[in-house]
Amino acid sequence: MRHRWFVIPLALGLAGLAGCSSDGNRREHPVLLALDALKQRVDEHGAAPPPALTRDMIEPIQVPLYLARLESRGAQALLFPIGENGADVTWVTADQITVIIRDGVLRATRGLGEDLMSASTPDSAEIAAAAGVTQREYYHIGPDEQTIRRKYTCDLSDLGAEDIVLLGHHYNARHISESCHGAGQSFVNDYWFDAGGQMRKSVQWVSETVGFLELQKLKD
Amino acid sequence: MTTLEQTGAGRRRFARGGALLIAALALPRETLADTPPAGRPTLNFYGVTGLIDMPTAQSQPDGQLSLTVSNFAGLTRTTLTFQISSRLSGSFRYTGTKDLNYAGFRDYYDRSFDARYRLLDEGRYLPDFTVGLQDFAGTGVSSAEYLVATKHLRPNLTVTAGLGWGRLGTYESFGSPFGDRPRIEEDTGGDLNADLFFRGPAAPFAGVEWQPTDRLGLKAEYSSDAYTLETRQKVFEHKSPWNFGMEYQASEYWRVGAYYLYGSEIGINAQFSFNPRNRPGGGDFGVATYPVQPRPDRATNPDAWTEEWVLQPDGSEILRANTAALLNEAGLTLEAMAVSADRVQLWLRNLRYDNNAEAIGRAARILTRTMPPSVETFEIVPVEQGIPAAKVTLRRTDVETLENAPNGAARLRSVADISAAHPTPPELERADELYPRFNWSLNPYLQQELFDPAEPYRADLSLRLSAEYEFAPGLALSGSLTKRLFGTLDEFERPNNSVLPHVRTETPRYVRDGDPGIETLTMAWYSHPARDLYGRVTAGYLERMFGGVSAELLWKPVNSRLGLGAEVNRTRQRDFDGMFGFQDYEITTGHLSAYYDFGSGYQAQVDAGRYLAGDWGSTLTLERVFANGWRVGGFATLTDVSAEEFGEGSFDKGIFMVIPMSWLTGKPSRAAFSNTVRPITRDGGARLAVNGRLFGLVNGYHRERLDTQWGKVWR
Repeated sequence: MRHRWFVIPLALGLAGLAGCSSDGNRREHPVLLALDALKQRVDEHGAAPPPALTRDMIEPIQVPLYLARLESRGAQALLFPIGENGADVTWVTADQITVIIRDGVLRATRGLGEDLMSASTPDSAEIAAAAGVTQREYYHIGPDEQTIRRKYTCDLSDLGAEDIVLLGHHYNARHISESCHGAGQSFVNDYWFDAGGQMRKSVQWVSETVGFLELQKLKD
Repeated sequence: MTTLEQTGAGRRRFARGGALLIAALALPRETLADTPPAGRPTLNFYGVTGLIDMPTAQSQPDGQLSLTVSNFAGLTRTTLTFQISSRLSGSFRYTGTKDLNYAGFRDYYDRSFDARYRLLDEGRYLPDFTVGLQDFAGTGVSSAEYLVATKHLRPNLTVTAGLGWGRLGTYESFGSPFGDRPRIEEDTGGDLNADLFFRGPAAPFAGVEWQPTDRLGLKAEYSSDAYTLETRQKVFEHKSPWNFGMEYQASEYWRVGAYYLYGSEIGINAQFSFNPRNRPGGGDFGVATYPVQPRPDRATNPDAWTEEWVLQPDGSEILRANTAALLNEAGLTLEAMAVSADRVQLWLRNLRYDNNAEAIGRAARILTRTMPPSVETFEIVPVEQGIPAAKVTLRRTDVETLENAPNGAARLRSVADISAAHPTPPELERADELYPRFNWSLNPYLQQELFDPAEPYRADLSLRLSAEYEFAPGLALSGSLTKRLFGTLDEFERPNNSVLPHVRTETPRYVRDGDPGIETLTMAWYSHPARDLYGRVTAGYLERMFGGVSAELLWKPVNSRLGLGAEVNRTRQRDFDGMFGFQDYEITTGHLSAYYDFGSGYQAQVDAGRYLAGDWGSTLTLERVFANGWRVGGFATLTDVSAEEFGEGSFDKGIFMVIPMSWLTGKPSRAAFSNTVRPITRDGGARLAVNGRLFGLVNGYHRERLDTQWGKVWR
């Protein structure tokens, strides 16, 4: 008698395999996607690393620009504005992830996994005042696709003047930190305001699995 | 001024080809931190929450799915357990005992179902308290009932004590508190053994579980199972009631253990456990869509708001083309549109997004970019097989103000209206250029045959070539060809002892003789004859074993939890060779169906009528549908075929699972894997397997289902 118990989990995993169709994007198979990912890894390995971003490279660009960094994934991308709705501006990466920002304050994300779907946040001026307590309400999309509401109370503090460098440009900035707690979590957002009172750089919390998003305003 | 213009192709391409892309934010995708989740109760050799061979009173997290394989002394148990609700769980188990020499088999194989219900929750003084039924409907070899209590002494230390009946009441019993246990009829199995429950000798069992670290677990128990049958048949020697074990949580999903059982045997256990609610990749990594484009301020720019564009002769044509182009980019298709000065109705076909609310939300945002400012009302009508399934009405002002508003999804839902779609609204202009439409696909698939005593698992890997030609909305010719690549299904051969017409038991011949074969070749027509009514007629080679005509009518109001359907099929059995010929067996079958949504994802379906073997009866299907498209359910069919005529298993029953592709990949997709497992397939209670039944087509766009998915309307 032969035992083949080990194949049952495989069978229940239902071995999806590469298929093809008249409209390729409709029918994606995990193995096909895994092969793509593998190919990408190999390509990344083989190819020279992408050139480091320099001020010269962004000089010709005639639109406002953020440099976004996602620490938890070791990834970065440039953000371009794609739409405005009131004070909220939607910024997009080349691979169609969007970040919604109001005067530097992160409002929402789309395409990062555990996205911040919407939020009530203090405004930029309130943060710049660096006084008192702020309230934040985050609406995350949970793992089972349901909205999860999380409330935080935050304390602002002024950490004084700091010299920050954004792609070769120096700014004399004021460092404000916002320490939030609530909903079983705590996190600290950091903001740097330039001499003109504009938020030049920030590190803001998105969600538990996405972590912190760093934003550098490279072009206004 | 307000002249409408066709937008150039590619001009609005959504942020493609950014020359300065350095690295994608979404890449590399890391899996969730690989920490073992603290506090999830562990599983036992029966694959239910427990110690080693004994159960505990704890429950798995709601929705948890666990697959457990355990082995000791030649007993191998493979169990699938589903935590149906926070209190109720169900298990399906396949047990093989080597050299049992029982009931005419040398190695004995048995299939069993368990159910457990947690009656009390652990509190400061009270323990968790659970009642369990083990193998409650099988041949009864593993049958047992138990009452068990479990209490935490410390966060990482639990004690358990319980009373067992049946198999779990065989060691050091103190008597039969509820009377004698009647002998089980050793015939076909599969009946509910309700007259046995909690009867006969009862015996106590107990145990402790200590988790010194997050990953390491130590267990000790006193077992009330004497393994009477197994020791009598010399499978192993029961020397002691004490069992000991050590377990290791290897990852979030895997737990393995090694044990010393009954003073004589070494055992091992591997547990694979996950929750369908949680995506393995951590979330939805699908790309974003266009943001809302708010209209210019009416006070400062009144010209933009005029309605004179309706006089432009090609106006609606241009709006339709512009909208179609943007929808196309988002993977959506414009089927038809009716536009007037203040209102637009968009018939939308969604072939990409598993989340229907997301598809509707994306279409709404695209309409803000293509519709002139005077159009204030958006009516989005999702279309399946040409039939409008529902109508979602949104005010454009709400779409504009709530796009980035805190809790915007729930707030948009509170002002959105979900109602019935008009079957034929006036002014509707169809996108005629879409038809005729041809598409095809070539995909591999797995066909399985489980639980044959000679070989419990057989499978074939085959290729399926599918093609569809849509003549007009709702009218399509489609077919599929299959070709086996390799596998072991052709070895499957059992003398067919069925006394009923062989409607499902000739699978081996269909597999052997019908390769390559025509799986289906049908003409299907879908209609929406009146409000809340949907119709389907399918004719041709309906499934691998039957061909003929199938007609269905469904009544399902958009805002109702209840749906009612009727289906009539005139069919004839197909030849084994998978070509165009038929055999002599001809039958008219049909069902009246009722569908009910209990909320929170629990759905029931009752089908009553005549089955393929000519038997009359009904099928009850219960399932849990998760917002992300996962479905887990079970069904049972009772007909006027007696257990004896039915043969092994007594009646048709099984479990099924649908796993959405998007759950695995983290990208939107409407593809899904589905798998149905029956303990045994016989001829009684067999239903025609026609494609495209109506309830599955339209229900996803009805209120209950849209509401569970609405959190992603702004995704």
